[in-house]
This record gives sequence, structure tokens and C-alpha cells, in this order.
Amino acid sequence: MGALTIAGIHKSFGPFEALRGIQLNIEQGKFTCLLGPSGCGKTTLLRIIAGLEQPDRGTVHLGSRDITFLPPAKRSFGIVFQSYALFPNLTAADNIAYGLKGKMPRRQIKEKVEDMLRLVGLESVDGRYPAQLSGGQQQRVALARAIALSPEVLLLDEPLSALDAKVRVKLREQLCLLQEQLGITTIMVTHDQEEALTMADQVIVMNEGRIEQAGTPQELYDRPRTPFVADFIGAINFLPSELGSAHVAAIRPEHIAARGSDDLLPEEDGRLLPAKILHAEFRGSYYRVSLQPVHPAGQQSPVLVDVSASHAQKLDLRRDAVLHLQLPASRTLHYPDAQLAAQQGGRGR
Amino acid sequence: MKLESETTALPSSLPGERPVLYRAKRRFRWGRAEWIQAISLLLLLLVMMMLIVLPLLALFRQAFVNMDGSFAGLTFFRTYLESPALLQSMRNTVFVSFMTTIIAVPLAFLLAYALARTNIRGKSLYKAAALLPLFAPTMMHGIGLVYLFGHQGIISTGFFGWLPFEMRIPLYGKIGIIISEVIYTFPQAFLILSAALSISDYRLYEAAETLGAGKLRKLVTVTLPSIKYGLISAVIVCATLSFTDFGAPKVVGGQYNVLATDMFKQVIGQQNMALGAVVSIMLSIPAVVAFIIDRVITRKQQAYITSRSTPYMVKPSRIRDAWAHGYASFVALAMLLLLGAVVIASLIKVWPYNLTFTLSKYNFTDAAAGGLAPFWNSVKMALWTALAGTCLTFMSAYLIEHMRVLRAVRQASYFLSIIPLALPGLAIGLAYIFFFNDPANPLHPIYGTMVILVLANVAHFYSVPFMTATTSLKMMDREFSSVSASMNVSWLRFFTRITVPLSLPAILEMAVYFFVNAMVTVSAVIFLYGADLKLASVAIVSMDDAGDTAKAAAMSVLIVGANLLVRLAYEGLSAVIRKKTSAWRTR
Repeated sequence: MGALTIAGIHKSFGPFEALRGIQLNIEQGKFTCLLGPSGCGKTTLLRIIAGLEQPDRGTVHLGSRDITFLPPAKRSFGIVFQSYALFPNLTAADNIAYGLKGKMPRRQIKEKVEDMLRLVGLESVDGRYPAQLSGGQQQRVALARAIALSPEVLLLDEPLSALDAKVRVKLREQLCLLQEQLGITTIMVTHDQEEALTMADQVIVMNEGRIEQAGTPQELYDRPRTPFVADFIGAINFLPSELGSAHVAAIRPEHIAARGSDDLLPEEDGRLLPAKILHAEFRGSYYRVSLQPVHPAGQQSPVLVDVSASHAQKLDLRRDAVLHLQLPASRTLHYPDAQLAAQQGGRGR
Repeated sequence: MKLESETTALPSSLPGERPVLYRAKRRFRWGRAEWIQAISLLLLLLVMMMLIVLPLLALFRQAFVNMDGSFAGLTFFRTYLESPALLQSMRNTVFVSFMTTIIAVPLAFLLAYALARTNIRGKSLYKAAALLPLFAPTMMHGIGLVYLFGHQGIISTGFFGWLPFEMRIPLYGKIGIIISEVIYTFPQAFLILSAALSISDYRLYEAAETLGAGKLRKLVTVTLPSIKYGLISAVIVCATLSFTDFGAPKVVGGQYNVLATDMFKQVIGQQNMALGAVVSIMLSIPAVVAFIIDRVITRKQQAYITSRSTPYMVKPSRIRDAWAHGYASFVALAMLLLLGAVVIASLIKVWPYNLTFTLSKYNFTDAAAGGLAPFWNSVKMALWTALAGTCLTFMSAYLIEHMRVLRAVRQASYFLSIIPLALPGLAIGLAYIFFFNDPANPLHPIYGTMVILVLANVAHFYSVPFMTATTSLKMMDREFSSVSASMNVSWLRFFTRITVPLSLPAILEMAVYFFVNAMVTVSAVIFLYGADLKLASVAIVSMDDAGDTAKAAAMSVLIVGANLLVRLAYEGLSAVIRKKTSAWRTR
């Protein structure tokens, strides 16, 4: 038992470098998310932690034990795959019992299976085959199967991505509760930033085989260390910085205040930017407004601003109407320009 | 693309630092599981070497070595190329193969199309009739043709003179061979083309239609491209099978020699083993080349069908359906007529003079065959072949597909597993004589026993069941074994509890394939059967040779009967399994 320590992991598949020097510490009992776009190496990293792949370089330690080349069978890690990999010829109960057979007496297995089914709320479907279960139920059977052996670490590879949006949100909660209840060290791979922010104690943002930033969801959202993280988690505007052309400023749409020309407040901190409305998108509790700055001093691309529904009533959100955008300095982030250029060159979104 | 993640990299992880990489790799030591995997794979390779490579080497050796053991170089090949008779056989074989292909492939395509793209009823019956030839030895097609179009045939004599005219064709010779080969290769081409037609994307047809394409344009721009690879495979299979077949030319070939009959004459008639080896190499080369072409071309196939493809929807059309009915009935009738003629001939006293019913033809005691023993020998051999072949092919597919060590050994085993598809049975039979009849070979004692017959059949029919098993194993979720391993479940338990149950339909299919083919084959076993181990298919050849055509017909009927029985048992068993497992197949 103990924390997982991952040091200097490199992994290549032919000429493709999947992981380039991963350094990571995962605390015991915590819920950690590996987050990143597809191809960033997060699944490869999970497979290396699971022992399903071997790294070219680097080590994986569990506590003080070096487990880098330990086969998966010897690790006591539970794994839930994206496809669930439930055995189609075994019932839900038999799937859960699969790993227990021969490791404890028959009666104890039966009790354990019942416990597990109760834990994931599936007592009624124990005799059904995977094909007779809904996606959410299959997912929970896979989870129960993985935790039935009381593993030291639970590994989840995009466990929710195959589900409908509604089911996904519900299972998100259940998964978190279960993890808290069992206190089991959990690592989940996901490409969905919302999933990572809502579920994890610690989020590891990865890009092109490297770790961009690791931290709590709040840290990542408020103080993204790179333009990539800023852009990948939530929405953000990149603007010319007053620090000079070598820098770029960034601010999230909800931190920009939009004012009509009649209710301009006396100068607050930060900048004031007049801009023409291009398009306003209704999103229920707020509008996301896209505006083109009137004096495009270096600023070509539109700026996104969130306007609450109640505030929007006071404003005139017609196309071509001019609003004054207030950009508070306390909420503005600054990055060297080279980082943004690198990121925009590298992303395909 | 330098981002801040530099801080996460270790100081030692500079690019191009090979020694570190090397050290890390070496640290991954093989555990017990890896050793067991490696030993199993090496054992498999050893078995494949014994079944295929070593016998073939013995065959090659024979073609290049004199009687006294000295190296002969290309002497025998020169003898061969200087013999006008043998060269004529080569030309004949190419001609037969070419004609068979250009007749059988379009006929099979029409039927596959009629069954895949129309709404006619009774498709399964039409299909069953079209597949009938698969259950019969190729000699039977020849025998059937003799009873229909021979000197005393039903059709050639105008239904024994009931019709005012006769319909005679010069059956014995190339025409008879070509018709037999068309019948023999038709079901194979039909199966390939049906599969190709069944995986088309209807969206493409809809797109073509909305863009104003007519029927012909749709056929040329959508249908043909989508079945291109199937067509190529069908052409190659038909050409190869008819090029190497022995049974039909033996029965209806008359004086028209082909390579397969030549080789038989060289080996059995003249005991000229070296020339026999040369002919069998000549026989194998085109087949192997065609096979490699097919593999290279069809490798590109994957991309055509995506998961978004929608199945073909047949629009109602009465005229088209009427044509389809007509054609499918014609094919079914032709197949049934052929089989019917053989069955009737086997039940009649003296064709065509005394048409009274008799079962005496099924009494083989006085025939060249000697009782029913050959038939039971064949059944026994087919059962052993099914058992040994299914176990071996499934295990090898499993090992090649699932083991993680010794990549090169797995690739070599895979190649050796698919190469038998291209090897003519006669070549395998001859190669087995050379290899196993060598007193220096420790396996020599199996020569002339059931064991060598079963081994030859397993090698001969190895590839198709191997691919069936591979496909079935590939369909299983890649992560199953990972899940199992992560729960520390033993390999054996995973294999028996998950792998085998999920592959059971494929395993049954493989066993039936081995059984049926072992029953009908003559080419591989005709050189290998022992004096007291005569086989049904060999008995057909010898009875036909001895002029006992009616008894040959009766023996053919027994073979077809046994095969149909096994097939029906298989269908029944499959239905039971499907029903039992329906809960885990569909929702």
C-alpha cells in the first residue's frame, strides 16, 4: 500500500513518442483524473500503471515497491475498460465472481457477489447476461467486478464515455460516492474536462506525451499554467497583452463585464474594450456573446463574453450593437506569446 | 513545441540516450507465463515444420537428386520440358483452368446476386442446392455427367429414346473435365461472392440514385468496386482448384491429359518419383503465386466498409424476382439432376437396359473395393481428422493471436498456417511419401497407417479452419485477457471458461469442414493409404477404373449421405447452441 510514484516514464510505438518523461505522484485514497485530448498519451500511461504495457524508460513505484515490470496479475489493481470487457457468456453475478473463484470458499464468494451487486445497486439483475443489461448497468457490473477483489488501486479507462449524457451525470455521482466510501486510490482517464473537474481530487492535464499541469480542479481553472490548459479547461479569450508584444493576455468569458454605453461605471481596474456584437447564443441561464472589438489594435479574432440572462434584458443584444467590455486585471492571465503560437500550431480544433 | 512540461522530465531522459533504454528493456524478465508461452509457440512451430515444411523439402530434394543420391540439378526439369506429351498436359491444364474460371465465376456471381439482391422466397433451399457439390468427391461430378451425357446417358440418348432426337456432346475429354470443374468450383465462388455482396453499403446506392445514376451506372460504379476483392478471390480460387484437381479428369478425362493425371501416372504407373516431384512442383507454382497475389491484393480491402454502413435494402420488383427465381431454380435443378442421376444409377440393375430397382450395387464384397471397409475407414479417418485438425488449428490460431512473446515465431507460424491453401493435395501426398517413407525418419512407423492419412488431411485442409478460428478469436474483446490477468485468474481457467465457449460455433464449423473434406478428398490420400486401409474415395477411382461405374456411383452416394448427415447434425447442434446462448447474444 502507499502512494503511486511514476518517474521519468518514456514510451514509444515505433517512431511515435506516446509518453515523453512523465513524472507524477498519486496520493493514496485520492481520485485522480488523467485529462487530455485524444492521442495525448493518457491511456498509454494508464496501461503502463496497470502493467499491460512496459515503459521504455522510467519506473512505477507503489509505496516503496518497484512494480514497473510486475505482471498485471501480481499487482492487485482493478481495471474498468472503456468497452467494459464483460464476458458475454457469463451472467452479471458470474462476471463479478470470475476473479474470486479459487481464492475464497464458495459460500463467501456468493456473499461477496451479493455485497458487490448491492453496492452498485444491481441486486435485481444478477442472473442477466451483459447483452440484457443497459449501458449504465453494464458499466456498474464492470465496476463491481473490478472492486470485488478489493484492489489497492482502481484504474478506469474512459468508463463513462459510451453512455448517454443523462446516465453519465448520474453515474458520475455514484462513482464518486463509491470511491469516497471505499477510500480506494483511483485513477481515471478521460477526455471530458467537465468529468475531470467534477469528479477528481487531482487532475493531470496531458498533451502530446507530457504533463502540462497537475493540480486540483480549482487550481487548474483559476491558474492554468499554460495557454493549452487555459483553453482545454473551460473557455478563454486570448488578447494582446499590455505587457508588450512578447506576451499574450487571457481572460475567461464569465470574468468580462459587458456594459451598455449608458451604464458605464467610473473606471475600475483593468481595460475597457468597445466591441460590436456578432452573435449571441442563448444558453439558458446566460448568453454567450461573441463580439468584434471596434478598434482592432492587434486584436483580430472575436471576444467571447458571458452575460447573465437577467443582465441581458437590460442590454440590447442585437447584431452590430456596441457594448463596452471591462477586463479586470485581477482576472487576466499572462503568457509568453511563444507558448500560444506553439499551442495554436499544434491543435486541430 | 516547448511547453512548461520540461520541468516534469527527468535529467537523465535526454533524447537518444540508448544505454538507459537498453538497461530498462533488459530489466523486463520473463516470468513463468512467458516461458510457457514461448515453449508452446516453439512446439507449434515444430509441429508446423513437421506437417508442412519438412515434407515439402523432401519433395524438392527428390526433384533435384538422382536415384544414387547425387545432385541432378535441373536435369529432371529439362526432361520434363523436352517431353512434348507433358508440355501438352501443361497447355491442357491451363486451358481447363481458364475455361472453368470464366464460366464458373459469372454463373456463381449471378446466383449470389439473385439471392442477395432480390426478394425471392426459398433462398435457403436454393443456397443448399448450390452448395451440394461441396459434399461430394469430384469424381462424382464426372460420374453424374457420364450418366447424363455419356454414351448411354439419360440426356444424350434423348431419355432412352423417348424423345425423337438425341442430344450428344463429346463428353469424354476437355468438355467433361470443364463441366465437372465448373460444378466443383461453383459453390466455392458462390460463397466468396455472397460474402462480398452481403457487406455493401446501401448509403452509396442511395447517393448514386440521388445523383441520377441509372441501373448500369450503379452496377459499374458501386456494386463492382465493392465486390472487387471478392471477385479477385473467386477467380483465383476457381483457377487454382481446377488447375490442381485430380478426381474429375480421372473419371471423364479420357485421353485428355492434365498435370494432375500425369503426375499420378508418373508416380503410380511408372514409379518415376523424380518426374512426379517435378510435375507436382509445376502444379504448385501457379497456385502459390496466385495465392500470394490474392493475399497482397485483398490486404487493401479493410477500408471499404465502415461501422456506419447500412445494409442493402431490396426494392420490390416482380420482373427481376421472376428472373432470379428462374435462374436459381435452373441452378438448383442442375445440381439435383446431377446428384439424382448418380443416386438412380446406383439403384438400377443394368443401366440402361434393365431399369428395375436393386440395392445390389451397395454390396461391395465382389467389387474391386472389397466390402464396406473402405467406407468405414474413410469415416474413421474423417472423424480423427476433424478431432485432431480442430484441436490443432484452434490452438495454433489461439497461440498466434494471443501470445505476446516471440513475434517472429508467431509470424512464421501464421505464414505456414495459410500456405497449405495453395498446395495441391497431390503435392502434399507425394511430399508425405518422400518424407515419411524414409527409413531414417523416426516417424517412419506411421507410414501406411491411419496416422499419416490423418496428418496429410490436417495439413491439406489446415488453412480455412485456421482462418475461421482466427476470425472468431479476433472478434473477442482485446481487453478480456487483460481483465482476466488483472484479476490473477489462471490462463487455463480463462481459456476454458471464456475463450472456448465464445468460440464454440466456430469450433463446430471447423470440425465439420475437416470431416467433409476428409471424406471427399482423393488427391492427398491416394498415394498414402495402406494396403489394408483402403478409403472410399480411392475405391471410387479404382471401381470406376475397373468399369464398375454403378458401384462407384453407389460409393459416392454413401459419401454424400455421410456428409449430409454430419452437416444436418451440425445444423441441429448449432441451433441448440444458438437457442441456449441467445440470452448473451441479443437483447
